[in-house]
Amino acid sequence: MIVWSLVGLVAMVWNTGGVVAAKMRVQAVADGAALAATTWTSRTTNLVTGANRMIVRLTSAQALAAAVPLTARDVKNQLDQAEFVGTLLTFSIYPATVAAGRVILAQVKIERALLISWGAITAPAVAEAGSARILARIADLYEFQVALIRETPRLIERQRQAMEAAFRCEIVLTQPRHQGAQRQIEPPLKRGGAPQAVDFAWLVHEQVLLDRRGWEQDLPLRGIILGRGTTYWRQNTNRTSPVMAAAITARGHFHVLSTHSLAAETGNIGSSVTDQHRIRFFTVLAAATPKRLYRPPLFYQPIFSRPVRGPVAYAQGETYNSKEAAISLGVKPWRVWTPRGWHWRPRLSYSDGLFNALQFDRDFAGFLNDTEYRLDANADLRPINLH
Amino acid sequence: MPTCARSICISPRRRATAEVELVLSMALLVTLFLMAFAAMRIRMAEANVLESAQQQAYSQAIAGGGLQLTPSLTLHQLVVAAQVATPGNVPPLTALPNDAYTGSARATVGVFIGPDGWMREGPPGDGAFQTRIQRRFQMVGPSWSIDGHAQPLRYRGRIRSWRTALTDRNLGTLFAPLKLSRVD
Repeated sequence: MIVWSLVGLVAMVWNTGGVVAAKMRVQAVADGAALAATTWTSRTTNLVTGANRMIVRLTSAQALAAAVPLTARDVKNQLDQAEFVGTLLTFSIYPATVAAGRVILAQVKIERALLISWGAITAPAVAEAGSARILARIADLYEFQVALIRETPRLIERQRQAMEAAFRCEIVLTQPRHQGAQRQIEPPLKRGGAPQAVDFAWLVHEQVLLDRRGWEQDLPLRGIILGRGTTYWRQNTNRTSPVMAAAITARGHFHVLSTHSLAAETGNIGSSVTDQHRIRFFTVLAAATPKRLYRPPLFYQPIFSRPVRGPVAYAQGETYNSKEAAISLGVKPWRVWTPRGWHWRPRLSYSDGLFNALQFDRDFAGFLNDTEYRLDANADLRPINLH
Repeated sequence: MPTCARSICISPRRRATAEVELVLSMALLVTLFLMAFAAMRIRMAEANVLESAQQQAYSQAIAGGGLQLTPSLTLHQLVVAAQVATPGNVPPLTALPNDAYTGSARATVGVFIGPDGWMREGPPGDGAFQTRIQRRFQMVGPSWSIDGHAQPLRYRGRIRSWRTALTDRNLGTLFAPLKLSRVD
């Protein structure tokens, strides 16, 4: 009896060590699966941000191009008036007034040349905008966003299957808002539209302010003084900017974060992203277990034990913006329209989304409940959350 | 004839049998104890080796070590590239696959019986029981997203290259006529 007990001791030590090593391995697989999934949601969010930025910039360019003929018309009218005044002055009986009239006429001549030069330089952009090529590019970018968002869950699924084959593990991924069979890992994005009209117009106008400085500081436009070139340029771009922004908003050709609510994008009302938002939209949970049933390697006796599922591990990853602590010009920089919105990145995180996942996804809960853990209540999760 | 000097009768042929059993059982017990210690030793080493392999893979990923192919594992399956049809003004996403990293570690574990202890590690071929343990670990993607490490920078670099190409394709013909800002 003593001998058999000691033989059992040897087996227990050996088998326990095997379980520990298997647990370490499967935990690494779960970590890798969660991180790899959030890598793709982060990339998609970054790429959609890039397309959004380009949509804003193209809308701004369209607004500027549309303002060119309006400005040329206004400047021409202004120069016509100046020329008329200058001509009248040359008919004066006072030599000083005649001289002033001639100076005005000479200046008008110079400014007309500058206006022609400006028109010649901007003509390609005006032609491009007039042929609706800029709007077509915006539509293409939007279609790219749609395709990318649609493809991301498939990419993540392909990746999950590849990892299952490579690691010989069952891997289950979920987000704490999906129900069972509907489960797929999606980036935290949705189509924009009318609720974001003010935000979008504001962003386009910010871009217009940045882009129109080029001509404000350049001679062909800055040199048109009598024709009030810079003034008309500003007035007309101020008019075309909201019109172009409204045209894009009406088409809904851009995307926003899933957590975006009305007028929350500018951040002036405060952050709309709560912990529950983060858990529901930005996290991915992964669980993994070896595909083969576990049999103790030493002294396995079907009489005393039966094959059971091997160790199960889970991990939580999230996509986050590494620049979210910074605030610039009242804009929350982690949004998907701003230049700093490019900084979405994946990381493993504290598993505070597990309780939500168990509530929503019964398949995921069943996967974990087949183990030695009983995961019925939040309190039961606390000990294993401290892994 | 059995001698019954006292109340218990012992056959002469069975005298000292208990002592012999005790000696034999001691040898058996010592052997079993040694086996238990050896099992613990090997399993501990296995856990350590596995952790070392993981650390190697992590450090490669953090340092931006790049792809390593190993014949025994289907590593190429882990590298999944995006296959999204992109219009002409959007650069292709083929430059954005996931990286995979492999770490491998090995150790020689020996169990010795000697004057300086029941177990100690010794050089290979020391005449004692020893075994070699090797473990491999793989991981996918930019591993630890810690600011300032090389791998996230490389990952961001890829996105940045795509962004530059996107700007050139969309705004390239508009920069000069409209004097657009180069700042993004």
